[in-house]
Parts: sequence; C-alpha cells; structure tokens
Amino acid sequence: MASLGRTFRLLRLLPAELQTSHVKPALNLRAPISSRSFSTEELPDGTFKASDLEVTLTPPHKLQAKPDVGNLIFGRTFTDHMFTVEWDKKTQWGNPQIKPMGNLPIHPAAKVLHYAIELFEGMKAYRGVDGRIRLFRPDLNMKRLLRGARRAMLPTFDPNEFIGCIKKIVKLEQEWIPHSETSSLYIRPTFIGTDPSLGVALSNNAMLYVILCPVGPYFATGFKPVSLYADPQYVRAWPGGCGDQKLGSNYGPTVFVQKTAEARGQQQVLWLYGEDHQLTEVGTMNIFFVVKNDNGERELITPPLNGLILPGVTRFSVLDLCREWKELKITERTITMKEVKQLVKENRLLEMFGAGTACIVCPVSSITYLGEKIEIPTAEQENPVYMKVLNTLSDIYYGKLNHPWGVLVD
Amino acid sequence: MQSVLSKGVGVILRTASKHPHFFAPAATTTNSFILWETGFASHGASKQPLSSSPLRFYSAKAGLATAKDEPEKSVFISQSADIHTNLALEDWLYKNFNFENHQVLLLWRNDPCVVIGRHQNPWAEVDVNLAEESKLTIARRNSGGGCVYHDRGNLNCTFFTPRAGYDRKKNLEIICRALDRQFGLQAEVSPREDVTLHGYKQISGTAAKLGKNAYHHCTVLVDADLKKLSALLNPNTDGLESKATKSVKAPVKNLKAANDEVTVENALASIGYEYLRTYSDGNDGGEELIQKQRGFQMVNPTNEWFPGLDKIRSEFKSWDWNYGKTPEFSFQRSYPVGLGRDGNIAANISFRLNVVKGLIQLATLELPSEKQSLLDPNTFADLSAFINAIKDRPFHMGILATFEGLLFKRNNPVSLNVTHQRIRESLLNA
Repeated sequence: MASLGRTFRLLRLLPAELQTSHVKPALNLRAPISSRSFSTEELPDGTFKASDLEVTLTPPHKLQAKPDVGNLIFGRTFTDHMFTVEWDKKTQWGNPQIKPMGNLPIHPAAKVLHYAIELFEGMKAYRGVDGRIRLFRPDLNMKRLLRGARRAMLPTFDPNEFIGCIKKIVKLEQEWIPHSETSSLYIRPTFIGTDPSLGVALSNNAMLYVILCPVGPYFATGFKPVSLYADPQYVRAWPGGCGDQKLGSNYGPTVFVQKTAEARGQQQVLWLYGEDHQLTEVGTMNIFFVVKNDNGERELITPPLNGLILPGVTRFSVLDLCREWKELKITERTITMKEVKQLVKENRLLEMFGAGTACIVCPVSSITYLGEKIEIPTAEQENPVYMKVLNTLSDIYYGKLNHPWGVLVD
Repeated sequence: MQSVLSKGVGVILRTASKHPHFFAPAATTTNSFILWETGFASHGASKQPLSSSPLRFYSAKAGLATAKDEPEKSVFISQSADIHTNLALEDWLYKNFNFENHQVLLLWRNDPCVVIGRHQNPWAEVDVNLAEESKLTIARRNSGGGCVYHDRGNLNCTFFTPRAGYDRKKNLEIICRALDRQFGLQAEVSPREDVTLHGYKQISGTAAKLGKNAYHHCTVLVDADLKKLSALLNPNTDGLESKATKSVKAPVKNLKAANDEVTVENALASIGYEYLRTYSDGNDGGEELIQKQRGFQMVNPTNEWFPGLDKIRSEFKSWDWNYGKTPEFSFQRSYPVGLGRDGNIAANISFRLNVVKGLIQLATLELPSEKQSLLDPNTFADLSAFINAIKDRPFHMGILATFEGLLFKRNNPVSLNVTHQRIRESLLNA
C-alpha cells in the first residue's frame, strides 16, 4: 500500500500533460544516491547487478602496447576492455559484461543511428599519491545519466549497481593510469537506443556501455588561457529544449561553430542566448566570473540551471568549494555581454574561466564579439580563484586531501 | 579424462594426474570441471566462439568481492626488451607497489645478454671478451644466485608478493602445472628448487629478494640459443681466485625441444593464466577464479609511466654497479722466460693482480732476482712501466693481452725462443 502511495506521489512531480500511466515516473534523484537502495517500484525497467558481471579477460596476444605518456592524445587510445549491458522491453536488463574492446554489432535501422537517441557521460579515475585509484563524485554522473535517460525514453537502472560495474572495469584497467600525478583515465559511459526499426518512437532496445581512455596532462605545454569567439547567431540550447541533458545530439552541431571560431583565429566558442546575449557556456564547459560587484565585494557569478545550462560536476564542485571557503559572495544568475563589457571597462571583471572534467578549469584571456576584442585579465590576478579551485580539486583527485568526493575503486 | 568441449582446442583439462602434488586433490579438480560445464549450459547466449588460438577465452560469472584474505592478481607483460630497463622496472615495482591485496606476476624477455647474480664475478662466470665482441650486455641483477643467459627465446618470470606471502616452491609449481596443462610436459620441482624436465634443468636460475616486499624470479628456456649460452658461460678462469658466488652448472634444454608447439608467446600466456587461476595457498581455482582477477596488462617501462625509473635504470647500467660490485679477487698468470743451457725453461715470470671493487688495487711482477738478466732490459722496463700504469685502473681482460704482448715482443730474441719452445712443446704433446 505504501508503495502505491509513493508511485502516485512521484506521478504528481510530472508536468500535468505527462501524467499518463504509460509514461515512466521519474526516479527520485534529489537525495544522494549512494546512501540508499532503490526499490523495485522505482525501477520499472528492472536493473542489472554488478554481482552478475561476466568477465572475459583480453588474452595477452590481443593486448595493446601502451604508448608513451606524451603520446596519449585525448580520445585516441582506448584500453583493452569495455563494459556492455543490454536491455529489451520483454526481458529487461541482460547480464552485464566486461569483454575485450572491439566493435559493437549494430543493426543499420538502430534508432541511435537515425534519431540520435543517445546519451553519454564524462568522468575520470585518478591514481592517488598512495597508488590507489579514485573516482570523483560518480553519483552526480549517475543522476545526470538517469535524468537524461528519462528525456530520451531510455530505460532506468540502479545507479549504485552501475557504479559497481564501473569500479570493476577501472580496477581491471588501472595499469592504463601512469604512476605519476598528471594523468588519469577518462571514463565514457554511453547509452544508446538500439531498437532495429525505423520510426520516430520509443526505443524498445537499449545498450549501456563504457569505454575508457588514458589521458595525459591536459595542459601539456603549461597553463595557457584561451581566446573565445562569441557569435549570437549560433544558439547551443534554448528553453524547452534539452541543453541541460548530456545528449549527443547537442554536441554534433557544435563542431561547425567551433570551426568558424578557429577560422577567425580564436580557440573556443562562447555560447550566447537571447536578445540580451546572455553568456551560457564555453565550448563544452560551464563558465564562472569573479567580479568586484557594486558593493565592492568579490563575487562569484555563474549562469543558473534554468534549462540552458548543462549541470556540470566540476561546476557543482566549484560552487561547493567556494561556498565552503566563504571568501566570495556566490550568485547563480544570468549575465549578459553588456554587463561583461561594462565590468571590463570599469576594471571590475577580475577572472573568467571555464570548468569541466577534461581540463578542470580553463582561464579565459579574451572574447571576440561583434568585431570587438575584449581582453579579460584572468591570468594577471594574484592568487586567482581558479588556481585555488584547481589546486584543491587536484588534491582531492590525487588523494592528497582525504575527501568524501574521492571514491576509491577498491 | 579429456574434456569433450576442448576438442580442437589446445587446452587439456585433466582431472587426474601422475604428479599429485602439482594438482589440487582430485575432488576439487572434479568440482571445478563440473562448474565449468554448468557455466557453458547457462551462458549459451554469451559464449565466446572457440578461437583458433590454442588458449580459449574463458567466460563465467564473476563475483565482485573476493574472499577478504585472497588477493587479486595481475599479470604484467613488459614492453621493453632492454635488460637494464627491465631490471629497473622489477626494482621499481618491488620498492613502490603494495602487494597486500594485489599480487603481480611480471613476464619479460630481453635481447641477448648475460645476467650475473648480485655477488658474482663477471670474469669468473662469463667470457667477457666474447660478450664484448658479440655486443652482448653483461648485467648484474639485484638478487643473489648464479649466472644466466637471456635472449628472446627465454621467458623471465618475477612473482611479487608481500614478504609474508613469499613461497618459491608454489611459484615453480604454477609453472609446472601450466606446462603440463597446456603442453603435456611433465616438469618437476627438484629438491634444489629448480624446475627440471627429464632430469635436465629447464628453468635456469631461480633467485629472490626479500625486504618489506618480496620477489622471486626465474627464467624459462623455451627457444634460446643454447650454443651461445655454453660459449658465453664457460670462460677461461685460469689463475682467477675469487670468493664470489659461483654458478652451479647444469645441463639445460629448451622446452621447444621437448614439445615443438611451445613458443615464448604461448608459454607466456599459459603461465599467466595458470597464475591467475591459482589460489594463494597453491590450490587450483579453475576458470572461476580467473574471472575474479585483474587479468593481463602490457606495461611500458618509461620514466613517465613510472616516475623514478630512469634513475634506477642508470644505476643498473653503471660500471660501478656491474663491475665495481665484484667481490675482491686476485688474478695470476705465469710465463716462462729464458732458456737454460739444457734447453729447459730457466725461470717463470709471474704477473699478479689484486682487484678490489673492479679496480686494480695491486699489480705485481715477480721474477727470481738472480734471473733478472733473462729478461731483455727494454722488456723489463716496459713491463715495470705497465705495472705502474695499471694501478687503480678498471680491470679487464685486455690488460692480460697487453702484458703478453709486451712480454712476447718480436724483437726480443729470448722471448722468440720461448715462443718456439712453447710451440714445440705443444706439438709434442698433441
């Protein structure tokens, strides 16, 4: 009886037009997920279990030689194993598997290939100074993945079981992480709709898989701030859209815009939205501003989660750390180009930086906007906030700081 | 009893054995066989196709949590064939890894070289001139024991454990079981803890190092150049007196000679899989246990993957380590000089060196004082100057050659006669 009540309560969380019985209720992802278990009512599509993992080790003659650390280009080298688990409407989740890295057999009509029914995640495993491997806040990636799954109409699963599977494959592949302090293993969980039928409809088959890439230090040649190109004709996300989910379809069309930025001699795209040219994101990162506000206090500003912004894990971490340090006023609000130009003119814009898993923080040196180049003195600050964030996060990643955000794989 | 399902595949699962102490008691082995059959039936959908390679892909259910006291195992395969790099990698792992819950077997091969034990004398163990001519490295390792020849046909195995888990016999038994399971070779662990096949020593050189961690390494002769091995490891040690560890020589044989299908690659794979399927108490855990392990990994021994490796490598490559660590020894040769009236050798000149830390500490020339006139004064001066010059210099066999060259110079009639005398003697004795 209690479970029935909970289902009804969950249904009430849905917008009115979606409160129909055949649409899956949302998983309650408000609370931290690691501290609790999920009941079967909350998992209408069932779940797979990490204890059911079937492991096929890659035999020695199929192992790849490891390149020099300097040749670890992001996304080019993959490890020796991959994780896969499949779902279909009738039998629900199959057995999770870890097997040698290889191509996926996929039907040409698979929905992912036609309508981009695809989600992905990005997270990293780090080798600490104690030699042990840590994930960083994997529960946040799980929440984001499950929210996105609901939007893409892909099946749900127990996030703690998936984290268990990720830990197992990272343990198998841990020698792909150099024993130094500048490298990590990039983890790419990917969720695709594999239903082999044409038609823009719900996918009755799905596959969740994980591939891993060793990555060297992001800033191989030192910490160089980037130049941005802002063109209001290109819009990355819009209200009522899915810019706040990590869907592959959000990223494919941005390559073209990145190329136009490069053609103009700039390094990354600054995404603007609306008549007032709100600054939303940089490339594939969230943005932060450190300003001296009207009351003379130092303030940290970042765009709010209003549907246009991807809720980044690094973004949450920057906000959480800065709130803890109590050195700045923290505000999540929209910020426009007009305001940025004014702040720069009055020397009140101190820092602007991107935040993301790939580079942790990325200082910005200039914005090219409507024919004008606006210089931003991020790199000129003494004791900048972005350096403090970078150092604290690195200390957590590499186990120098014992912190609940660093989750050991064994 | 052969497994029906292994038809066409090189893996032979035996449930009975002629050598009971290599296999788990029959009951356990039978159980693991049945589990495997059950696994095949229930995981039909996910079964891997039987590959054409002799080792099959195993697929079975895995538990996430292993028993708390059973460590997880990895097999590391070194990407380098350089002896100094591999010795450095071995040392790096020994010094930096925590093996409490994660034990490692490192498998490595080297380009042709000779490896001497920590306390050995290279000149007593190796034909150093031949090695230099063949451009072969002589390397001193960190563990004790005897001298071994390495080339690409030789597989090196290093078993890493915490000090408490050190057990040479268990490691060698793993190798024996692997050779039996994969190739049907009945190898045995001898009382001296060598691995023998038909009485020949297969695994030449087992040595170990114990500290906070422990490693036990040994070599497996698969397809090595045995001719080169015997040429290099049988130097002329006339006149060499040393207290250094002497190698125990034994006849050796390649595994390939006993079973033509053995290659270093499949021996490596078979020993690796056997290591992964063996519990730390020495019992066989079957394919079930393999799924709980961390499997095989290639390892690239560079300083960026393993910070500090370059420093260790340069120590292993240094003259101070390879030659300077030689225990004190003496070297002496005597040569006949002069002819007496009766055609006999008049006297002997002795050349004697005392070598400490690879450097000539003392060099002496000995000749009975009344016979000094037998030696040409120029020769005598040359030899005296030479003796003085070589003091404190590194020892090498070229010194002997130079000494002989000075002594038997062509323009010295006495020495010429002596040379003829020698030739005459040798012809008479032939």
